[in-house]
Amino acid sequence: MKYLATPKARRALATILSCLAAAMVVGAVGLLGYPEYTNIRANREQKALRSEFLTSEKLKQAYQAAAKPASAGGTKVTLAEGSAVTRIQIAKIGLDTVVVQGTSNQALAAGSGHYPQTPLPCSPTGNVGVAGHRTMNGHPFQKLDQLVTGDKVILTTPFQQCTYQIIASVDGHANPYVTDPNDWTVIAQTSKPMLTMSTCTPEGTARQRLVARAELVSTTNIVAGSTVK
Amino acid sequence: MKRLLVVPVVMMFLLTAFVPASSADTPNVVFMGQGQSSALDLSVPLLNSLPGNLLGSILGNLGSLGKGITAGHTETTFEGLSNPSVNGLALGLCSLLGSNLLSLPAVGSTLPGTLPGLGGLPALGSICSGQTQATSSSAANHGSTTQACQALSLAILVIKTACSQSYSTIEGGRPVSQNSAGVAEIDVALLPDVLGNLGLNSLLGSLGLGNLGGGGVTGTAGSLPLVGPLVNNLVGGLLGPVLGSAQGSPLGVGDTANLVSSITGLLQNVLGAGGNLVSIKLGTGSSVLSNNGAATQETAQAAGADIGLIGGLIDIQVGAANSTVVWNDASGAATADASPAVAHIKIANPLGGGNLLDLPIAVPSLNGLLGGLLSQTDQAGDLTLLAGTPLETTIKVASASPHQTGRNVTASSDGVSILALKGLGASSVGGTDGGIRLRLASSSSSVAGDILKVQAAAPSLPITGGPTYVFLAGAAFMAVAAAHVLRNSRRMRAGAKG
Repeated sequence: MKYLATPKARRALATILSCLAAAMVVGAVGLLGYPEYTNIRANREQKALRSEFLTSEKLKQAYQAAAKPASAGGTKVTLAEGSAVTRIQIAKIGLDTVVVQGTSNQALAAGSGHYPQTPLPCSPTGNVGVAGHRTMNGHPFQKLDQLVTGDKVILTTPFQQCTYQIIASVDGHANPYVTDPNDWTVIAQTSKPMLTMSTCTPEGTARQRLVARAELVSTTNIVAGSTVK
Repeated sequence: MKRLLVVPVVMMFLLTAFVPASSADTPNVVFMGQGQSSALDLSVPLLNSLPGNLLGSILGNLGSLGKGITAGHTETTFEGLSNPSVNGLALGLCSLLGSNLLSLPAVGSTLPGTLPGLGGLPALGSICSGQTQATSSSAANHGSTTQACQALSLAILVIKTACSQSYSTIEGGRPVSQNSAGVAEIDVALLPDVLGNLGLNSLLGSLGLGNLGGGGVTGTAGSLPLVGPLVNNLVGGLLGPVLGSAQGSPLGVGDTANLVSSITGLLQNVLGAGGNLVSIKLGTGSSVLSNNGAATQETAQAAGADIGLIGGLIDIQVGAANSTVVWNDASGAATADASPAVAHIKIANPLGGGNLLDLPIAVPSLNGLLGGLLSQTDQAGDLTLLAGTPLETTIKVASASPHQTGRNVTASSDGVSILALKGLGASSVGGTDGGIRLRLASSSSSVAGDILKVQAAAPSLPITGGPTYVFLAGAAFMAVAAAHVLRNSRRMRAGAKG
């Protein structure tokens, strides 16, 4: 510590430490505020998505193409990652959010995303998959574990409003249920039209996945003259 | 001040929470193989003709000797690079080992799906002599063993100095192994101990010699009645014409009598006075696995041998047999090479004056040259001596063959196999499954592998559970650290003023 022998050196070091302390305070504030920042960012993104959801021609084309079988000349329209796909509402847990296309980290910054390898929402066949954050990024699926049999989940597309109902069990076990993070069977196709929602569990970790599955019970056309059945 | 170092460490820990795990999708090389060499595989079915109680009393726990012995045997089995391991085995002598202890997947099989794990080398029985075994799966647990040379002396079989040495380890992620083993000399003799217990006549009868037709040869053979027909058969049917051919004219009466006398004396010595029926001098067999950092090479070499049959009447010299395979990591390709043992056969002239025959075994055609004594029996060049007699001996000529299918290669060098004295102790009268069966200087090396694309870990379902607590904990820690640093800063500033 010989170099601290002079008052000048001590003053210089004190200044450096002060600057370091200030940087740490800034870092602490940043860390403390980051989760909330993601929520704010998600909420702002949701506002833009709601507008896009109502006006996007590409989205309408995608649903129209999906409704027309390939044998009838229908061609698949691919939605860009991060673009609005559907609106999901679950009154039981106070959820009302727009789901974007894709499940990458970037896409899920909006809160929830549609598994692109699954059918578009309201599909009369197959298993529609949606993943949503349980913490941060608006945490739309924070209370997914509170769903019980019979709870209604409403998906809205540019042409339809579909009502799904939480089913009692999935493959012999309770619903919602916890599964392995690599269990991709959760979005495997089903014989009946289904909606599968997934999020991380326990809350605040990504150790496992919480899955809730609902069955399509009704569909209502919301645009007069829609070709969607 | 030291405590301040904790801050950047914790910062780094926090940052790792935001760094996505890298996905491994790099090529990986796997291969496995084995090398094997046997200087000698010997079975002595003629011993089966001895009464069980006699065999047991003489051989004790070695009563299974009739099943065969393996001498100068080495093996290496190896696997690399992703999970390297190596087993090495060397044994001077063992009477229970088969010749095919371990085997690779069939050539042409799909790899690596069918790659079996390394099997353990067989448990060696207590009657193995001069055995060592070393196993290694990392550089830290290399094995090295040396077995002191041992000798084994039985009533009719003498093994001299069976030795073995084995070393295995992992170097630079690759298996390395050196194994060597050998038996200096093996003698099979019908010693007086045996003969005294049985009586010569009953022994010869049990060996099938009594089934020979009666002969008119007289003279010294009279003291060994059953040797007479054998000698008569040899001289009258086989050796006579050969010897006559060698002399340029048919044998005269005097020559024939001398020939009969010489051979009879030879057989008397072998059968009654302690001479060796079979005497084998061996070199050392080895199996060496090495690498140069980019390629792995397995070389198996079986020692050559010098075999004397019937007291030296027939002498067979076998050179060493080699087989080599090389696995190249970068290309994922393997090559194989093999060189056969070179063999010579010599038949001594019972009348003296050098060898009656001294030829490489692989001479294309010997028919007619020797008046029927030596005949080729098939296109592979197998040779048969003394055909039609209980002493019929077939020599299968050495061959070497590398085989390659894709990345699977095998090199084998099948030295020489000798089925000697096939009629002695045969399971039935006129049978040819008796005698002494030798397989000399055989080696094989194999390697199979593939270059794998390591499967990236299956992606998980979307991560939707941000670690909120990490941010809160990090913020709290940084706040405390900031306060601590600020306090030190103020103290230091106060000290500067004071």
